[in-house]
Amino acid sequence: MNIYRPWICVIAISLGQYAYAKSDYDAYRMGHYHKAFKALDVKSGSDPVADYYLGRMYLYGYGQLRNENLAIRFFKKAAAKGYLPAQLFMGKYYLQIENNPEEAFGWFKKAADQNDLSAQMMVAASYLYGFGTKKNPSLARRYYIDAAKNDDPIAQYTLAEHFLESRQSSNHRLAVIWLKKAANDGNNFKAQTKLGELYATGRYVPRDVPAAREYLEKAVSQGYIPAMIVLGELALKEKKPEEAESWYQKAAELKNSQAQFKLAQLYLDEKGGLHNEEQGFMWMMKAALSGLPEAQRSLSELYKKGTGTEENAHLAEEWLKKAEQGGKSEKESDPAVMAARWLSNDASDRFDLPQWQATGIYTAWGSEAARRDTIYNQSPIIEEYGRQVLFKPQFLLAQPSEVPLHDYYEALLKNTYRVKNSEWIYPEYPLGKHLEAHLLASSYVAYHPDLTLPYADVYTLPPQETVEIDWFASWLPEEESRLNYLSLFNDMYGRAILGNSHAQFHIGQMFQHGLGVTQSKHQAIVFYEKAAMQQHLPAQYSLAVLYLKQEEDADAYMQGVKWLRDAAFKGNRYAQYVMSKILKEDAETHHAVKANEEQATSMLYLSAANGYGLAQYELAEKMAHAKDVSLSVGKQLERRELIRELYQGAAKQGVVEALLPLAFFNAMEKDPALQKQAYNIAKHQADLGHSEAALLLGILYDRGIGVAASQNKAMEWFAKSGSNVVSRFIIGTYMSEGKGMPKDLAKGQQLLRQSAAESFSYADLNLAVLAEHSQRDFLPDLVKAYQLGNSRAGLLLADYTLASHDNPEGLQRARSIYSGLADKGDQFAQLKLAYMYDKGIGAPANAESAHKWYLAAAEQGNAMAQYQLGQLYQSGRLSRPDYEKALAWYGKAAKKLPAALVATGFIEETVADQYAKAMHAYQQAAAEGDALGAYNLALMYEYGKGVAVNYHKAKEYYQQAADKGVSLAMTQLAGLYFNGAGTERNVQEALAWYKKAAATGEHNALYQLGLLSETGVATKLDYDDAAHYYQKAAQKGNEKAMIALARMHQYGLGIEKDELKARQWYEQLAERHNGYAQYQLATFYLEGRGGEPRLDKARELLKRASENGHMEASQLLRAMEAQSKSQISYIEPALMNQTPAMSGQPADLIYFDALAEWNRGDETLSRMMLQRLMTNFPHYLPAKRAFDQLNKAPEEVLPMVSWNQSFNADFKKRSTDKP
Amino acid sequence: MKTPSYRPKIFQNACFMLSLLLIPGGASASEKEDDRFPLGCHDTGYEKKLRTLTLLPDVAGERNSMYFLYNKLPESVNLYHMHDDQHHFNVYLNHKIAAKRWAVFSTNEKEVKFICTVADRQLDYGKIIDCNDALAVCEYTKVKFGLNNRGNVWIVNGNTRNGAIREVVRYGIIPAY
Repeated sequence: MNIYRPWICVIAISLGQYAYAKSDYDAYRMGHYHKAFKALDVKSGSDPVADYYLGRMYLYGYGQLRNENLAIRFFKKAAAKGYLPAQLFMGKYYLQIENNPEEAFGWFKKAADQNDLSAQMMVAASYLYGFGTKKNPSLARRYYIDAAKNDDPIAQYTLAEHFLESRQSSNHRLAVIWLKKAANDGNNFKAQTKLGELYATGRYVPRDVPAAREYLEKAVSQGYIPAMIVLGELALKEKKPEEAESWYQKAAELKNSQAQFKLAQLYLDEKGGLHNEEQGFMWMMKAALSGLPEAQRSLSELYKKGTGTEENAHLAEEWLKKAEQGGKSEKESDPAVMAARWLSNDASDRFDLPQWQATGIYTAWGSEAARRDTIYNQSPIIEEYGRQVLFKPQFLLAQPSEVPLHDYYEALLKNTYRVKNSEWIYPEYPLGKHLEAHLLASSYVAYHPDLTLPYADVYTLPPQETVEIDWFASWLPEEESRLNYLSLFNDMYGRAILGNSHAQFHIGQMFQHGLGVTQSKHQAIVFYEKAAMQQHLPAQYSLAVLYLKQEEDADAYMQGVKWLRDAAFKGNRYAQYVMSKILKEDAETHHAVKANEEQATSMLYLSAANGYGLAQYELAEKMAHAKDVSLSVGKQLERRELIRELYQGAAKQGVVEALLPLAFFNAMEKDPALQKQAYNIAKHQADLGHSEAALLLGILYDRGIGVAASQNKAMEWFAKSGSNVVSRFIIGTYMSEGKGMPKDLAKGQQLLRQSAAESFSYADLNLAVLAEHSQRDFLPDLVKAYQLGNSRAGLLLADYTLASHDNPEGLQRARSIYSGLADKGDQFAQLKLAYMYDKGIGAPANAESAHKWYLAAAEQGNAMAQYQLGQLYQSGRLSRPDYEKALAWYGKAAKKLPAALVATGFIEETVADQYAKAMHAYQQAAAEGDALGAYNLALMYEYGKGVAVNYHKAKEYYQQAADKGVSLAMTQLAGLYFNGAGTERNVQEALAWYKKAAATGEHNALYQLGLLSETGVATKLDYDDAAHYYQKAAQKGNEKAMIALARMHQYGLGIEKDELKARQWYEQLAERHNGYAQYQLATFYLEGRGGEPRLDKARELLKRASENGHMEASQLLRAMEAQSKSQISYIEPALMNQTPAMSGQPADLIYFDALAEWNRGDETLSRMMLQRLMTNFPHYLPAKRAFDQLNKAPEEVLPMVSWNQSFNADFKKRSTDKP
Repeated sequence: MKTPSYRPKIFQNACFMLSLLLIPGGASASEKEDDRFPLGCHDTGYEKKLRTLTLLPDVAGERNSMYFLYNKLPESVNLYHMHDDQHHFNVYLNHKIAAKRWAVFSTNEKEVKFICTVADRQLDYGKIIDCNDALAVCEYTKVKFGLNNRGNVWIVNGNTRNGAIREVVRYGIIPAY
């Protein structure tokens, strides 16, 4: 990935500079090379991206006859215009293939100036060691400083070294900083060692032995020997000679001469404590033998003095001489080696890191045949889903277990609005706790602490321990607890008149209800008012209610509204609730308040926000009813969550009606605890005989929510669920398909019809599907389902409209349906709408809109949308290709869609030249049964891309792909059969596969059929057939077929001789940069066939042909030039008529090969083969006829340029042109 | 050695902070940029639910917090302070924020709830609207209050963003971040 990321970035960034929404490049980026050629060729010269793409096509022989010369020319053009990938390519090409460091340096320098890291390093290395340019350390520094800034550890280390050499102390500090950066990269052992050394010696940094050891040991752990020596020195300094010895020994045993020398010194040191002259001598000898001059000098000393050995003046002399001669080995003076070592951190003497490798066909292709010029190689392909696949209407029954639960809930709710506005009472504040206790104590009804209230929320609340509370203890003194109401009243009254608002409120309550005192509304109002004045909200509310209840008195009512409104805006939830009721039209009395539905709703919201259960329940019901189909999926989820919370709040406060709705909403949640709760409520209520609860319970069993799934139990409960709209739909659907119950189509349909009558859209959808199955008119039901807001029905309707009405109105209708559903967040509609924008179906293409909708669907996890989004990024229709994003989306899609793996492989292979990754992706795809994955994999095996050529495997995978109808695979398979590669040779089988592929219009197969017909191999010889096949292939741009046709016309082979037509074909070919055709055309001009001779035109054509690598053209050109400048003598190359050996081949195959060579544009070789064929098989009629015909042609005006030896050599090693 | 200063330290800091705060806005604090949160003011510590606005200073940082509230609407918004039944003798800090203006509210309560309304001829207290549509809210979670200026108070009634920050600093609060 490290190598690969910069590649992608480089391409992405540099493309950004040139390619602005160039849909012309789509074809190339999606792998339709054949199609891409024309558009690219038009742009060639003006847009470097086009040149780069053309270069790649010619280099690989994808969609064009392979032509390396031409490819390099295109790359050069692109590079000269500053296109970074092309510059890098040229640099690597000259470095690795042409072995021309000077040229390579020039291109790398250009790339380095565009801030490409690998190029910066290469340029730095070149300047440092004079590789491909003059040595120039200061220029080198400029580049490695840039590289260091780009986080290259080697550059950082080099920079640090440079700073260390400096005399300025400020530079030393910089050196340490860079060293630390470099050492952070785990592999840079040089920096680690250096830094360790600095810490050990305390140079430029405070001495820190543990830190030094840490760095050094890191380097040692990677086997870096100099670090061991430094460690040894460190040990010596710490007076630990044994440790030093062991470090030196370790290094010395690894044949490090420095270590050997140090070890010898250690042994020879008399004061060191390890004095051992013999050992010292031995190691010194070793060091000297490895060529270390100091060691040689020391050894000479030893011989002189006779230390550790016998005295020997002669040897001493000799070693001294050696030491003086001592110098660098030849290798070390080679700048290429030095540069390579520097770049690889001493790991290698050659430039073999991937960033300087000429990748792709240069290094990774194993097949010789695939690397010949003027042949077609087949490129990998990716799946592009067509309209037929994406928009195929699918008439499937909506399964009851798939219908979203909230749709069921909404259907149930639609017919039962449970909250009736007229039925409400003023909520009242409970009496004070002491009063309540007193009431209970004096009540005749026995108090049962274990008695649960009917609505007790046993389902929602954890069981609470009932604690008997002594209300009085906290409130009243002990002796007062037995006092009657009056004393209570008196006590409170005392407080009230002192201004305690709380007490005032309670006195008000006692007056209002006549507890302990005579009931008096007037008195109650007085005390409530007192409390209200002190901002006592409950009192204010109670006061308002007292006034409001005097409905006959308009003034009092007005007063009440005033108090109520004030309390509401101060946050009293009861007041807000009552306000919401009063603001409704039908609650209006005395016209004191103008009805205002909106404000009423707001009041309900406020009351719910303040936690009033009834308000929460009513609000939840209200929201659940107001089904807003225009909301997006996300918004709907939010709203659903809010409704659930409201129901939950209400249920917790004992609103019984909220329980079942809460169960429904809990069942929609993913949280297992909530699901379990849903089950408990449903079970409890269903057992009590509640039919909707029974329905819910059935659904829970059906889907396994909160309980193990059980079809039987589900059916059991469905049966008990009464006859409501949903249960009819469920049972109707199951009955129609006979799932879990006996099949009864008529009854099922009847139930569905009943359900549909209550506007349940899924019932309409299923009725439509059933009607389609029995070939009845289904549109009315489908349309109704859609109109009811069923998105599935909408999709089906739109798909059907598209499939059946391919006219502008049909398209528009479908489009508007998709668009409406997409706005609501339906992923399938989003995908389809995006596709219509993408491909311009029904409206002009619009990549931005397509992107928006693909993204919306992709983010919802739609694999197809993810794939399409990947393609959108890959194609660059959005402005420029973004391969990284494309790969990311393909990666997501790959979990469900093997085609995404193929696309991943395609990018890895064709953009990044990462064959191993591509292969892995293809393999995965093929294993999942993807035909294109198998085909691409087979290509890798056949051409040996990053893997050994393996025709067996290739055949196996081609077969897999061909069986699934991949026409290109059929052609390749036929080729393997024809050549007997990876299988027994079987021309009939080959013919059959060619015919199959040709039937789909595959041009290679068509061409091959033409050639087979022309030569009579495997089929009868038939020129008409041949011409017919060639014609078809040529129309599809097959150049070999074009040459074949030109040849047939030119020489009248099997068809009437027609030079004009031949010339037309040549002209067409010449425009496509075909060297042979250019050469032929040039001879036409030279000889003046079909007009006046035109030397200038001929010369120009010859020049172009020779640039395109046509050998004869360049020789002819040279001959012409020699003739025009008579002072230069020209020696015509001698004719070396060495005919190639063709023993063992049957005549028809030689004939076949000969013509195949001609069609490739190698007329000379072809003629030579025919000649030989005629010599060996003079009576082989088909060839003889053709041979005579070909040689009847008028002699060329200029001496026919002969072939030289290289042709013959080439011929010997060549294999046949793979059909 | 410290140089003695006659100015209180808090004021020095305030000046420093002020200069920091003004940098991002720059001199060209144009109208359209006025709706961005000031530097250091975080989108946290409040809840907009069921049309109400609840400030929850405890959620992030210290209890004593300062809120910047921006009225996104082209008309004034009234804020009605709500109290629970349990709380009595409370002050109601109702407030009105002019159109497209920033107001600043400082609080040390656990929870402060507001109703939002806009003027309506038919309705005495105004028409209740969803606070979420009207207000942008952000909180300075770590505010250094002087000892004498804690508590619930509207520090800034309504100003431009930079104006509001100026007023806050003048009030003696350092909006730390």
